[in-house]
Amino acid sequence: MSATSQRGVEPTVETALETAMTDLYAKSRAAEFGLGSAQFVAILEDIAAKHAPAAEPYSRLHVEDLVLARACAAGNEHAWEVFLLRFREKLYDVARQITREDSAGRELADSVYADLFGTRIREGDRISKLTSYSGRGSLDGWLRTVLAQEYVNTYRKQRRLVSLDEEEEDGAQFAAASNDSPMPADSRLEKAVDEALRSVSAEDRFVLASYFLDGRTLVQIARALSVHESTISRKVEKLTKVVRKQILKSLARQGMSRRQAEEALAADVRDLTVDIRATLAQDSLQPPFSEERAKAGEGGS
Amino acid sequence: MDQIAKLVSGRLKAQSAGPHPGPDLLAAFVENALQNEEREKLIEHVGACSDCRQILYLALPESAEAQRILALKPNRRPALALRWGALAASLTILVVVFTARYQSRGPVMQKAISAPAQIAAERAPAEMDQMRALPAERRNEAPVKTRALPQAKPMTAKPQANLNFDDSDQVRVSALPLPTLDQNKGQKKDLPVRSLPLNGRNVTALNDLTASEAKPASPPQPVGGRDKEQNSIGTTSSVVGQLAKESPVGGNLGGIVSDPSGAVVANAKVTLIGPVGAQTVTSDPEGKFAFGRLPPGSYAIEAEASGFKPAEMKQVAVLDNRTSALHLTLDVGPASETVEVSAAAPVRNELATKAATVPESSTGLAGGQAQAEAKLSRKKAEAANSRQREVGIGSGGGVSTTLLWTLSPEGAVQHSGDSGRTWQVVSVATGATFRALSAVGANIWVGGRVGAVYRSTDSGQTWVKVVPAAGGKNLDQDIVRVDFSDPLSGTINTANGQVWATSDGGQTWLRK
Repeated sequence: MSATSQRGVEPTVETALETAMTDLYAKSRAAEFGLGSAQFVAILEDIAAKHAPAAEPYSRLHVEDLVLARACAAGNEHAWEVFLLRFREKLYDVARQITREDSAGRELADSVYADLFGTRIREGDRISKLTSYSGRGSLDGWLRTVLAQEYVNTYRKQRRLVSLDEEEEDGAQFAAASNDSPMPADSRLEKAVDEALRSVSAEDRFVLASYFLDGRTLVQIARALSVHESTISRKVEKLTKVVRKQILKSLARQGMSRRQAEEALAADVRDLTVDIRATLAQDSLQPPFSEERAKAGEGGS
Repeated sequence: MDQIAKLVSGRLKAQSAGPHPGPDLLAAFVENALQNEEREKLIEHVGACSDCRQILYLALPESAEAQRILALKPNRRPALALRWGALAASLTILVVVFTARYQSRGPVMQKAISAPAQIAAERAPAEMDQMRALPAERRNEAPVKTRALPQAKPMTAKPQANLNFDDSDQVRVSALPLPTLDQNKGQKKDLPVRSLPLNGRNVTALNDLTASEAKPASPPQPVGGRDKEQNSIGTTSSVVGQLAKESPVGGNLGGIVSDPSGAVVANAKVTLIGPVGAQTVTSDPEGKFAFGRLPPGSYAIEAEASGFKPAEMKQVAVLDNRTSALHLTLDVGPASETVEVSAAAPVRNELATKAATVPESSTGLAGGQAQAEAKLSRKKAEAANSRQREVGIGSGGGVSTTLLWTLSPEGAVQHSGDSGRTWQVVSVATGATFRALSAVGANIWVGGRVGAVYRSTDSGQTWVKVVPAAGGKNLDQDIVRVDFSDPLSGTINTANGQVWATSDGGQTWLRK
C-alpha cells in the first residue's frame, strides 16, 4: 500500500476508534461516577496493554462494570451506592452458597467486602481490591471468584487444624489430592499412564481431573466449560477409552506383549484409577494465591 | 510405606502447575470470554491445579436450586434409530393418507382447531388461559362451518411478531448525552464530554457526534401537573392503567407523593432525569404524577415540596411497553437534607420500598468505612423488604412469601412458596421445555431448546417470548445457562459456546 493511500486510510481508522471510544464512554456511565474521559481512556489503554492480545480489544470488555469498579475503588459515593444495590445481597448469597453455612458465609462476605473497600493504605491512598478487576468477565462473576478464592485460601491456611474425618465429611468439596494412595506395582504402568495423560489435550485433562480426581458431576463440568452435560458424558467415555488404548500402546513400546499389557491393566483396575488421580494431582500444600501475589496483583492493576 | 510416600511426594512435586491465575482470568474463563490462546493456557493450569479447580467450581452460579440443566436421554445406536425411524415414517405416511381421505369427505374439525392452538402457543400465557377457559362448544363453532383444509399460514407464524422491543429506541438511549446529577446541589448538568483526548488527539464532542442520530422519534411527554384534567386518577394503579392505555410506545412511569403518615402531598415538584434529559411535573391535588412515552433505560427521580426533605430515587428501570409505579414518601424536615428512596423494580402495580439515607461526606478511612458499613445494613434491610414485597404475591392476607424457582427434570418451570416443600408448575408456553432459569426478584428468565427464551416481570404471572438478536442474527441455539445479576443485566450461554449479553432487560443484545 502506498504512502498516499495509507494517509487516506488513517483518519478513517482514527475516527472509527474515536467514535467507538466515545460510545463506550457514554455506555459506561463513567461521567455519572465522576470519571473524566481522559481517565476512562487511560483505564482502557492500561487494560488493553496488560491483557488484550488481539485486535478490537475493547469490544469484549464489560465497560460498565469496569467503570463501576474503578469508581468504587476511587471512593466515589454514588458508585458505592450503585455497587451495594447491585451486589451487596448477592455477595452474602454467594458466600452462603460457597460456605454452606450462614455465619461462615457472613464472615466470608464481610472479609471480602473489607478487601473491596480497601483497608490498606499506600502512599496516602486506600488500596481497593476492585482495582484488580479488568472487565474481561462480568463483575458479578469476578465477585463470585474472589469469594471462592478467599474461601479456599482460608481453608488451606487452616487445613492442618482440620481432622481427616472432617475433611472426608466434606465430600467432594475438598476431595482433591489424596496423597496416601498406593502406587502401581509396575513402574512401566506408571510411566505409561503419565504418557497417556500427556497425549490428551489440556481441556481433556481438566475434564479427567474434575471427574476422576475431584468427583465433580457432569453438570458441574459442563457448566464450567459452557457446554451441555451430554457433551461431557460422551467426552469422559471417549477419554477413558483413549487413555486405556494409549496405556496399552505405551506398555507395548516398553516391551510388554499385548497379553501382558492387558493383564497389567486388568490386574487391579483401582491402581489405574489411583494412578490417574496421582498424576493429575498437584502439591496443594503449596500456598496458593499468597498474600504477596495478591498484593502484587492489586498494586499492579 | 516410606518408599511409597517418597514416590508420591516426588510425583506431586513434578506436577507443579505454575503461577496461579487471578480471579479476573478465572471469571472470564467461566463466562467463555477468553481468547483461545489465553483459554488454553488457563485450562492447562486448571487441569493440573486442584486449588484453582476448586475455586472455579465454587464460583459457578448456583445450580441445584436456581438453575438445573436437563439431562438428555442417552444416544441410541444409529442402526436402531434408523429402524425406528423407518417405522415412524411409515406410520406417518399412513396417517397422512388416511387423514387426507377423511378430510375430503367431511368437515375438518381437528386440524382447524389446531391452527388457533398454534397461534396460542406463541402468545402470552394469559391469552392462552383465556382461550382454554372458553367452553369447548364455543371454540368449535367456527371451524365446524368450514370444509377447507387448514391453511399453513398460522403454522408458520413468526414468533418475532409478538416481541415488544423497539430496537431503534435503544440506539437513541445509549447514544444520547446522559445528564448527570450534581450530588451537592441536586441540579442537572450536561455531560462534561466535549472532547476526549485519545493518544494526544481530540475526539469530536459526544453531543455533536450523536445529536442528529440520537433524537427520539417522539419526544417524551410528561403527564401530570401540566395537564391535570387528563389525570383524574385515584390510585397508583389507576395512574399506571391510564398511562398504559395512553402511551403504547416506550415505557411509562407514575405514582403518588405522600408524607410519612400516608397523606398525599400536592404541588410537589417531581423531576425525572434520564436518557432524554430532565422533565419536571407537579403532583396534582391527589398527590399523583406521571410521565409517559419514556425511552427505556435507567432513570433517577427527585421530589421536593416545601416543608419536606427532598426525596431522591435512583436506578429506576423503565422498560418498553411497561409501566413502573412508584410511591415517593417525603419526610418532614428542612430542605437541606435529602431522603433517598431505593430503586424500584419495573413491576406493574407494585410499590417501591423506601429507606431514608442521609448522604455522608467522606471523612477519612475510619469514618468512611463506618459510614459505609452503616449504609450497608440499611441497604440490606431495604433490599430485603423490597424483595419480599416483590415476591409476596398470590399468598393473600398480606402475608409475604419468598418464591423459589426451579426447573423440573422434564423442563417445566416450577415455583414454590413454602421453602421448597411443594412445587407448582408455572405455565410459560405450550409444549416448551426449558434447561436454564434465572430469577431476580419478580424478574424470571427461562431458556430452552433452539433459542427459546421467555421472560416474566411479574413473578411468573405473565410471560413474554424474547428473541435475542445481534448483528442481524437471532439466537437459535440450545440454551444451557441463563444468568441475570439484576433486572436489566444478564447473559445467556448456548450449547455451542455463544454468550449473549444484555444490559437493558433484553431489549438489545450483544453476542460474544
